[in-house]
Amino acid sequence: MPFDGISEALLTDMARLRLALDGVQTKWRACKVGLDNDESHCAIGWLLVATDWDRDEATRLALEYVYPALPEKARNADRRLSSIWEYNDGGGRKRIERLFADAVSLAEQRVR
Amino acid sequence: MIDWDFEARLVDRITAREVIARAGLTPRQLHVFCDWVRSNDTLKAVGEREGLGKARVGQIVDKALRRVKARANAQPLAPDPPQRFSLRATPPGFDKAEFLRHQQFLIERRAIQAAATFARERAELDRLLATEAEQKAPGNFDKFEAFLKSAVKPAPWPEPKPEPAPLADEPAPLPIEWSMLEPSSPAPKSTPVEPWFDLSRLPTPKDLQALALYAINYLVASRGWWDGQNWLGTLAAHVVCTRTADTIAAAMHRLARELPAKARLSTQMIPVAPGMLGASFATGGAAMRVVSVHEGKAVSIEITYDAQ
Repeated sequence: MPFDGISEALLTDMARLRLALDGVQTKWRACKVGLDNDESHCAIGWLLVATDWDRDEATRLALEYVYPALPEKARNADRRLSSIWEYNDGGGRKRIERLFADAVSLAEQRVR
Repeated sequence: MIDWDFEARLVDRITAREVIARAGLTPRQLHVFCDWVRSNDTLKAVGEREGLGKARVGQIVDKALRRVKARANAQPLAPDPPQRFSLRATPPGFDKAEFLRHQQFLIERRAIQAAATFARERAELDRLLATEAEQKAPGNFDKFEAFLKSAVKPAPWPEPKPEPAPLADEPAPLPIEWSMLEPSSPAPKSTPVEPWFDLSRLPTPKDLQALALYAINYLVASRGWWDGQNWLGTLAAHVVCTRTADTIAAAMHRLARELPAKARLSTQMIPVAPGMLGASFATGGAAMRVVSVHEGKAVSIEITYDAQ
């Protein structure tokens, strides 16, 4: 699959989302974001880790890719980040893995 | 063969019927005239059918024809056909300048709403982190805030520039000691400290590139040679370890064992944002991004791969 001519920003977004997915698959937790010295993190925490704790980039990835990947009933347009952590805390690791896999698919569709 | 004139003849016939119907003919004139028109016979033949002489039929037809022609010339029966409209013509009363101003207003309003949403969600993220830091230890948020501010923030993406030509004094690639890189062998002993393993100073991007080459070679040698794929993998692996030869070698050895047996490593370089102290390197077998973390004491190594 050739990636010629694709902007590096999109490529980096895909790489970061995949890093977050890898983190969720290995060390995921509920009810806590997880600070810099914690090993396990929630969905938002792994976005922060994947962006090297850049809060602006983590917020942008959450709003552009992770929030649209939420099920329709879980979304709240006025509280988007809250929708993500409530979805994280209300279920298990597998559904957060599905969430990030859908976010990666969304990024791939934009690349194509 | 297609009869292209059928429609035109049909329209003429219908028009003629309407004209004749409104011409004000008497029933006898109508009957004889229509018989003569439909049958297209001579006046004598029509007269034989109607029981009239040839001259009388001629008079009736002539009078009827004059009335029909007068009626046809007096008033058009069908209105003018509707004018064709061009699909590209602007509709009447359309103000293009106003339309463009309204579109610009909608675009600006959408940008303002997006910025407001981003600011609101960013504040929510700050609130989450502050709450958790304070719950962990009172007064902890100040230290965490200092850590967050010290995190390297990449600058906006610049235009891509051509790569400069390599300098004459580029460091030579590391020699690979193949005899020490068996999968079952332990990690190699510490070698004399190379600049990219010197913990007393921050590494430069060239140091990180050399370190990436070292790590890639060790990873590929531990797994055995597989051709890399020239697209970004769907899976990613992330290792953070101290910036020493022993630690990195052990980490790559372990990573090689933990990767799926048939995993194909990506040779597509993961870009490094400007302002980030990191480097990307790729060989024919794998690509790796190395970022300096924890004030140069450790490195964060990232690769991407596909399971098969």
